[in-house]
Amino acid sequence: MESKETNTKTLESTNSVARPKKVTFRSIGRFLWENKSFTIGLLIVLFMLSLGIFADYIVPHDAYNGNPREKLLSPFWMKDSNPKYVLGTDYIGRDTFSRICYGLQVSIIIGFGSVAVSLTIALVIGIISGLSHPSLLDSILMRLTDVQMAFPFIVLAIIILSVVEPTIGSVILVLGLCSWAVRSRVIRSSVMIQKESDYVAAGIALGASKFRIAWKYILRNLLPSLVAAIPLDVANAIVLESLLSYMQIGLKPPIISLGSIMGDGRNYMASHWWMTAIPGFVILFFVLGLNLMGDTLQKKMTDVSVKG
Amino acid sequence: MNTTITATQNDDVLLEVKNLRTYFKLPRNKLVKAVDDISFTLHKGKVLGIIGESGSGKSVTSRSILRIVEEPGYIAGGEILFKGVDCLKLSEKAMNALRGKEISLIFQDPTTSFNPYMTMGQHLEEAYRVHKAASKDTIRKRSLDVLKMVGINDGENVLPKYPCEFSAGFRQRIFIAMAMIFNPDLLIADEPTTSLGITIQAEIIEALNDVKRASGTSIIIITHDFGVVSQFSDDIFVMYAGHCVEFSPKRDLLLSPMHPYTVGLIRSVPLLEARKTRRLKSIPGFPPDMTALPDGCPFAERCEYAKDVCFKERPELLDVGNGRFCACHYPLKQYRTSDETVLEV
Ligand SMILES: Nc1ncnc2c1ncn2[C@@H]1O[C@H](COP(=O)(O)OP(=O)(O)OP(=O)(O)O)[C@@H](O)[C@H]1O
Ligand code: SF4
Ligand SMILES: [Mg+2]
Repeated sequence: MESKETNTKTLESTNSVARPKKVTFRSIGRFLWENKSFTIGLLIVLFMLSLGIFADYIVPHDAYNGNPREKLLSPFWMKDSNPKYVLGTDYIGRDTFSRICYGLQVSIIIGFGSVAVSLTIALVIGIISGLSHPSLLDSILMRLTDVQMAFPFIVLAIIILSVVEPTIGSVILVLGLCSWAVRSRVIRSSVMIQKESDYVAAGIALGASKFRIAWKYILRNLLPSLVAAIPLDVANAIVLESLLSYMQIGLKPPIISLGSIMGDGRNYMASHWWMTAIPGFVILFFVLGLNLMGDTLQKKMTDVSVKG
Repeated sequence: MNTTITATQNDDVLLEVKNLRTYFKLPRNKLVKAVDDISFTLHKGKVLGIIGESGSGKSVTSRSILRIVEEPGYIAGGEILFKGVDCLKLSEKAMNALRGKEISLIFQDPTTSFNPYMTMGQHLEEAYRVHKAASKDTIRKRSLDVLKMVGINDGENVLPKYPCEFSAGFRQRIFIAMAMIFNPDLLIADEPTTSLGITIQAEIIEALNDVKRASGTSIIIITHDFGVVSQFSDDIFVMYAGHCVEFSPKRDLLLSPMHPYTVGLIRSVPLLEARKTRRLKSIPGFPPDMTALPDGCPFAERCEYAKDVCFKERPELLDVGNGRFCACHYPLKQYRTSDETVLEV
């Protein structure tokens, strides 16, 4: 009898790594301290989010109507600048900082909105085809993703946006509809692997219904990798939206987009390079922050599953 | 082909498998008869050991009992009477109510049978909630009880941890605890020790033994290791190529095996036979191709006693008295293994 009352401690495998723990303030602090790149990314993203979300309260000037007498001013660190306009003004005298705040707002809405759309589509298609795997339905859905992946994004976007009016809503849909295919493949293969896994077999042997298996075992295990994918996908969507606006096939004035601010500076590139460069850097930093977060999350979230 | 091993006193029979056949449909019209016409009986509170080489259909048998044979397999016929009710005639819903509640299955590899994203507590809770709604406290109490049953007394420390934090042997014990959460009448352990080290094996067998003592559950233990079945099973069922070749009380089977295949298996166990002959003998040849079984005795190719008739006619499982059954044209009446010590292995 004695020998059986083994202490858990002695039997714990020593190589156990990356164990999820109860979330407390201390554990969060520890996580942030140990993952500095994540923390830096988080700070950047929070900064950008607050600029965008609270734009209405922050902006010092009217972002839509400028003062033509104060046009083409330089940012604060250059001569020729006006302390009223921190980042200068554009060719009709609108405050660049104010415009960037509203541009960020639009980027955030479109970035998260389109990811919500694409992840939803990816989840539905990935789960259905993964669960129904050797079936006609699965083949049809996978051919559909083939079609989506075969179309270059820009071509697809131009086609759709030349038919429908580019509003915030339609751009969200376009970006969402153009970027679910890869994720749905990933989800499908994860579902297929899990379907064959022993712990799903164990669940079936315990008497869990098919629905319960799909919901409580398979979907639940997909969540960490989906969460990790969100920042990376949002970053992608923000870049694509800016690209569309820069090329003037995306949002039209008066809606402000970081891409269209860059586009406004295009004709002044030689003399007033900062008009293009400043919004460009904002996009760059936002995307960098999101990627720093996403990379860490992806590493952490997949750790658990690898350790089995 | 209708010989069945029928119980003498019917009321203490828990499980009666009659002429079970489970086939796999393979591409190009090939059919694998993974389980072909097997029958056995399990009494309440007893332990049945199923032994056979890899691929002989042991896992398929256990999965058939729970009706969880995966595609492209299907149960082609037979009866599985659990407490007198034919499981094969139950609806899927009624069958689901049995799984995990009255019949539990323990898996071979405890490193993959847990969901890596769920804590042990969540696993036990899930096993409970599948069948019954209850408060967290009730479930927690029951979880600690079943953990105690398998010798884990500090359950409070185990529940909040994730599978990756435990060794394989420890995980297997937790799995056994999980299987016991509703005190099932039948526990099927499919090679519960095969993936574990030799000292841990003994620990798992001991845990199963404790569980049996504490709850009176019947156990089917599947293995290809005589050491495991000889320890605590009451009856032994020897499988070969999807067929039952011998069924007998443990003691008789180990002391005087009748089927040449059983003899071969016993001879290949180091501790059992080495004392007598000082030399191990493996069974010559390989298990047959399951897609093209011969008409005659499936073991004929490898059998040293085979005669002409063995290649032509399949031997039936016949009652040879004393609760023993053997499927051989020339059962060995006189063969004796070394001595009583085999029982202590
Ligand atoms: N999914 C499957 N598809 C096709 N054939 C299968 C499948 N599963 C099992 N079989 C067939 O059933 C036979 C018996 O398999 P089973 O898994 O029951 O063997 P086993 O006795 O449990 O062996 P082991 O000791 O390796 O676990 C195999 O030889 C194989 O031909
Ligand atoms: S029937 Fe013949 S071949 Fe088969 S085991 Fe018996 S003696 Fe050997
Ligand atoms: Mg097996």
